[in-house]
Amino acid sequence: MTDPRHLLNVSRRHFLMESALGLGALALGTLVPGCGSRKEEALRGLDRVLNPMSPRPPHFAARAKRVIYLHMAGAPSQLELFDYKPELMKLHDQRCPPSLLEGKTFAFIRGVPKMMGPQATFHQRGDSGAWVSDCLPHFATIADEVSFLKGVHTDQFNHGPAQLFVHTGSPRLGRPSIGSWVTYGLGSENSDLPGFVVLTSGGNTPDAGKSVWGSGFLPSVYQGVQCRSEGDPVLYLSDPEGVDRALKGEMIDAINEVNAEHYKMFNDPETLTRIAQYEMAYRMQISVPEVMNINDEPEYIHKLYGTSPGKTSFANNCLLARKLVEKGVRYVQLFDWGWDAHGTDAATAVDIGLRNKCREIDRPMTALILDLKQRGLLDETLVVWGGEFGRTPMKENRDGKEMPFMGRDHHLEAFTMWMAGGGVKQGVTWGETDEIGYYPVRGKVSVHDVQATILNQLGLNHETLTYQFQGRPFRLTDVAGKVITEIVA
Amino acid sequence: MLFLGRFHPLLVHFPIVLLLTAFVFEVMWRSHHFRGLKFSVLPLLMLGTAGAILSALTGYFISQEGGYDQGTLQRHQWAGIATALVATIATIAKWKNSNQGGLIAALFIILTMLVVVTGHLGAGLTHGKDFLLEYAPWNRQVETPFVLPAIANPDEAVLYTEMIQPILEHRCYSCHSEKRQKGDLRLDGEEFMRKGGESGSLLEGRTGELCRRLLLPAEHEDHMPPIEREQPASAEIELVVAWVESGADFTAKVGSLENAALVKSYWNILQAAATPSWLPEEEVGPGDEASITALTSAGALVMPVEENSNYLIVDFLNIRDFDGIARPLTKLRDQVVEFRAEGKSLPDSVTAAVGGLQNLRKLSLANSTFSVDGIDFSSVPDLVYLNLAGTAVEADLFDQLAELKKLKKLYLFGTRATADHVSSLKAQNPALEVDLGGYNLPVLATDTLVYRR
Repeated sequence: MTDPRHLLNVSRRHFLMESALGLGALALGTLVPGCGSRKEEALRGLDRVLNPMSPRPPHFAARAKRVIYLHMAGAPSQLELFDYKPELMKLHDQRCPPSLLEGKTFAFIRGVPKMMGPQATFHQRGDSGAWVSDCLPHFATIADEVSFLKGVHTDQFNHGPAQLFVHTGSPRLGRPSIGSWVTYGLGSENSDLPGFVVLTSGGNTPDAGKSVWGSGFLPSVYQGVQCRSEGDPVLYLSDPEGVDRALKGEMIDAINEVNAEHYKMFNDPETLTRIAQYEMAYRMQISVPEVMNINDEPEYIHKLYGTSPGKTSFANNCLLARKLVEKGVRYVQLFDWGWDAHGTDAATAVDIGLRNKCREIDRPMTALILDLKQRGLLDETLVVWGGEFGRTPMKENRDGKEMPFMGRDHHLEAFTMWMAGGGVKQGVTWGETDEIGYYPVRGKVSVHDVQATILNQLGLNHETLTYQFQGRPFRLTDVAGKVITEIVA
Repeated sequence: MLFLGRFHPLLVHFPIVLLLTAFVFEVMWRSHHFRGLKFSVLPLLMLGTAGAILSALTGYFISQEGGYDQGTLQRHQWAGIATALVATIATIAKWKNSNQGGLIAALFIILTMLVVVTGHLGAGLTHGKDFLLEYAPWNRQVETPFVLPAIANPDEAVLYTEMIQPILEHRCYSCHSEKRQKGDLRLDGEEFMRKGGESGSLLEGRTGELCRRLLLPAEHEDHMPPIEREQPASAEIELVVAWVESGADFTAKVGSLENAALVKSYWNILQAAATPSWLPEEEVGPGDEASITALTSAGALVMPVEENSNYLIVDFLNIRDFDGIARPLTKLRDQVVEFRAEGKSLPDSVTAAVGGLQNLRKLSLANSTFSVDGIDFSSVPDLVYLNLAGTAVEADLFDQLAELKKLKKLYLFGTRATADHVSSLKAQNPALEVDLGGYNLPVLATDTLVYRR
């Protein structure tokens, strides 16, 4: 410290960091008061800083330990899959009454569109009598396993903000995603794998970009780790050419020693996090390729899911999701792109492209539920399925013109989601829309309600899971959200 | 009169404080440190007496508004009058003759008791009888989620008595029944409900006060139950609304109603929630710290089932080396309610320790190899969840499993278990769900059918 050259290295940043030690000590003083439960609380807070991913107990006994969230990016049509509206068929091709259009903003519908009846055949399924269309013939056989929410509504009519709203509780950037809140609240079970993994399929990542699995204002260790089912599972994780694992190990040891010195000097807990992250990355080099490899799965499993190793597909991702939760990964987020059925071309027509998308997910998601079930994992794994909004009962007339294919515009008022496993009731349908599927008439639930329910199943109270930021405590559901007790077993 | 009556809740606090202070000063001035207080007693007494008389008068006026529990009101009224009377006598006695110590002391003691009794009865009128001690430690009750009773044949059940009345009792009776009648409303009986409250009639469709207030957003001033109270589930509200819309009949059976299907769907949602907690009911002391540390430092996950609980979930997910791990596990035998060791090669010491976890409720050894004789299932009789998928369990184990009478879920996918084993297990424990797995999805033409324009 007496070497004057040392001062050349002292920047404004160092000043702030070093004074942060003093400020930190002050903060610690308030964190660790003299007595009782407050002290334990403070120590827990400190532990969260030093070991951000160490597992923590839930607020109350959890019904689910893990979540697999299947997001159909682009928003699938509830009117072709689950929300059967025979009355709408009778109105097919009639002009939409003005009462449904007044005061509404649509993404593409202009002027007066025509109504469009369901473009699929519906049947009641299982003992519960839930309506599932013939677009999902395999899923229809397990309708008794799931709870349908028919009256979910949102307030965002563009994909990006709506996806952000569904996954972060706010349509604007900067909030942590559900998976980040969950790993922040509960930590991660497997010390060799990330606690929050994201898998995408369908040729594109979601419109809202990586912010839908971002950590927002939470420490960045809580953000989702995107894994790929083709090539390297995690980018930049494998060793560069000419560097073997032993050398990499020595390198990381050396870096960690330097970091440890740095920690001695500045006592910044972020340095410890950094050391832990390097060590974890080193372990992940072995553990991630292992868990992301589906080649060793038996033929029976490949047949069940319809998987083909080495490709990027929703089927592969479903199988990976099962493997990940089996290894204790807390939150697995799947995005499947290509559900935006506007009817601008054959690929987005509700009677052509939508059916092809349904075929791609039908067998895998059904297989996922059955496979989790037979392994005893479904009891503790909450599976959530949904899009970011619904589709209109009107036929889209982009720019006020008749379109060559049948499509539906974005619809905020009502759409269908389902949940299975993880302490959710089996074979229940909650919520009901009006005769044409425009508004919910009963059991209307908001995006925040769905989020509150997901946290509730994990044993977290959405009102007390907060993070202090910009001078106030923030939470996933902001100032709203009510647990949908009707589907909680 | 009603105008003056509304001053009662404001006025009552003065005589209470003044008269009690007078009593305290009367005692205190006998110590020579507080000799000066001797002269404060009379003025306090006089002011308190004036307050007591005014309170009694305004109290009579406010009682004319009605809406109070009659029995408590009567007692409060007489206690109030007695307080005013005794206070007057005490004031006169003190004024006339401040040396008759015995009489003054007796009057003061009676007066103080009267003040306490009157005050308590009055508070009971506004806040409800059990308000004061509701959260006393000896009154603590475990909060149970609201569930409708199971009914074998809902068509034959009377909608009001079997479904509506229990909801009203749970959500509304604390303010609108015999105990209290806020807003002059009682909901504990047909005649009261037909009569309605001060805001109007109750049962006129969705716009009647009952439905209107239930359906308003919780933040709305008129919403019932008030936002501070635990809110009913939407299905409860919808069930009440469905009852009102079906004509609010107090004797009609569900099957006879036009909207019977709707009523049954809500009822189904509400009564299915009765899954009891799998955790032991009795509390347990904290687990041995040293053993928890030993397990954790060996890589085991040791986690309380919930915040502030001593019951533990132990998971061997991250463990590679099982040396010396059995002993600390055994030491936590009272605390561990869930144990998981999946995909591991377990030494006998560990399986023996698992068999000794006497409070164990959930056990998963899926995909692990272990010697089956190692676990004595008869010593874990409370198991509700057992996952042996992918293990080499033998046929003789199934006889042991039949002894686990509380077992609800058993996973045997990928084992040698057969449908015969399952049916013999289920014969002995009908509530048991056994999953043999091996699910298949048929190959359908639509699996490969690509739609084109």
